[in-house]
Amino acid sequence: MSEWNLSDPDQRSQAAADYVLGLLDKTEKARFEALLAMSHDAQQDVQHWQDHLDILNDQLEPVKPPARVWKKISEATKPASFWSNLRFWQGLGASGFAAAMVLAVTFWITPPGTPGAMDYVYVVQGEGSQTEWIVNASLEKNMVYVEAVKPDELPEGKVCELWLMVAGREPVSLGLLPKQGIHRIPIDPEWREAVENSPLVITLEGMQGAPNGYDMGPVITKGQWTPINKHNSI
Amino acid sequence: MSAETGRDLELERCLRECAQEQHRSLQKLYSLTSANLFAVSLRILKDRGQAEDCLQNAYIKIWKHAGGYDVQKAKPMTWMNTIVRNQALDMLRRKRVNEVSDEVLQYVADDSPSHEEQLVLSRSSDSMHRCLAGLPDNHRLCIELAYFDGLTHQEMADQLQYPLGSVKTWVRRGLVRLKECLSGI
Repeated sequence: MSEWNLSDPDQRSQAAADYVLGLLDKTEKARFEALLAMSHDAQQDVQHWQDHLDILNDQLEPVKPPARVWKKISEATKPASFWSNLRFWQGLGASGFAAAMVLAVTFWITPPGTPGAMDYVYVVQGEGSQTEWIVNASLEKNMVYVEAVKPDELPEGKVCELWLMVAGREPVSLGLLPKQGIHRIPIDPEWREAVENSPLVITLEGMQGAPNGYDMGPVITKGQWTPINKHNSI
Repeated sequence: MSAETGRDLELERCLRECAQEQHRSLQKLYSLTSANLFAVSLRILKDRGQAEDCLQNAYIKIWKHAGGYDVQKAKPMTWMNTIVRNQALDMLRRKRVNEVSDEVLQYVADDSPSHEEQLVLSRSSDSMHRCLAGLPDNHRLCIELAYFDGLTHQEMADQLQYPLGSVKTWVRRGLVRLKECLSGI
């Protein structure tokens, strides 16, 4: 859906409605969720549509569930005694504790550490449509942010490199993709227009990356920026 | 304070107390909302046993994640309805029920709540319902097929035996009309 312009309020609202209805395909959903992670306007659109469409739930005639449902819920949620709690944590160990701590409900919680207002976003998806990296460009800050979400395992000695495919010029490397955390790449202000208008490519390289833009390794994936903020102009 | 606002405040308090692991508040929350949430679960799954499993899992999620509820972002019923709907649609996708039926009521006739209970449980105004009732039948049907049955545009077109373009237009126009009507309330 390359014609999607999510900086247009009407199109963004329509996308939010389709998101709530579950009508976006995998790629559209990933792009919209990347926008959702950082755009207050998109978050509000989703909230409004969740509220509007809740009327569909509201019209349903209430149905009292049988008593056995509460009994099962109560058994599953009743706080354990002090002693059973102690045994639970002794058995779980440190790694289990860490795993338990990362469990979090995903909707309506903005991920911590997300950079401020962004202008463009590109979501890198691996096989099975899992998000591997989110690439954001802030023209205001002259910075590209590459955040590792869940990168796939790579062959030993291999890394992924991100490229800006500027028309008629040698591809510009935006650096190696991080295995974890956020990688910040300053952009020379003269490259701002190129950032906006150029597609992106990811290649598989040796640990040092490609020697130059003409000798890059095999292309793993490519994509386009999705505009986020309509107010920023170059 | 309207009855709707009073109920929202009570539900918000229950969720706050659930976040503090006050089990009694989960029981209170259940008594106030389970009939509504069970109706959502039944509407999507169209199978009483599965709907009960869904409701059970949804309340366990509500209990575990009550601390993540943000009153600034959603009304408590909208938040809980979304949890139930997501849970039910996940179950539906795993074991797809192909037939789309509006015969859910056959499952529910035996132990539905009293008229008084329903009045308390219902939060929406007549004007909101008029917005929904005012949609052309095909617009409303498509929105419901997506919302409750998890169908894609193509699946709706196949099921209704209409062109894909018509289905997309009905969804889009239905949403615009619904938004305009609800915004005017």
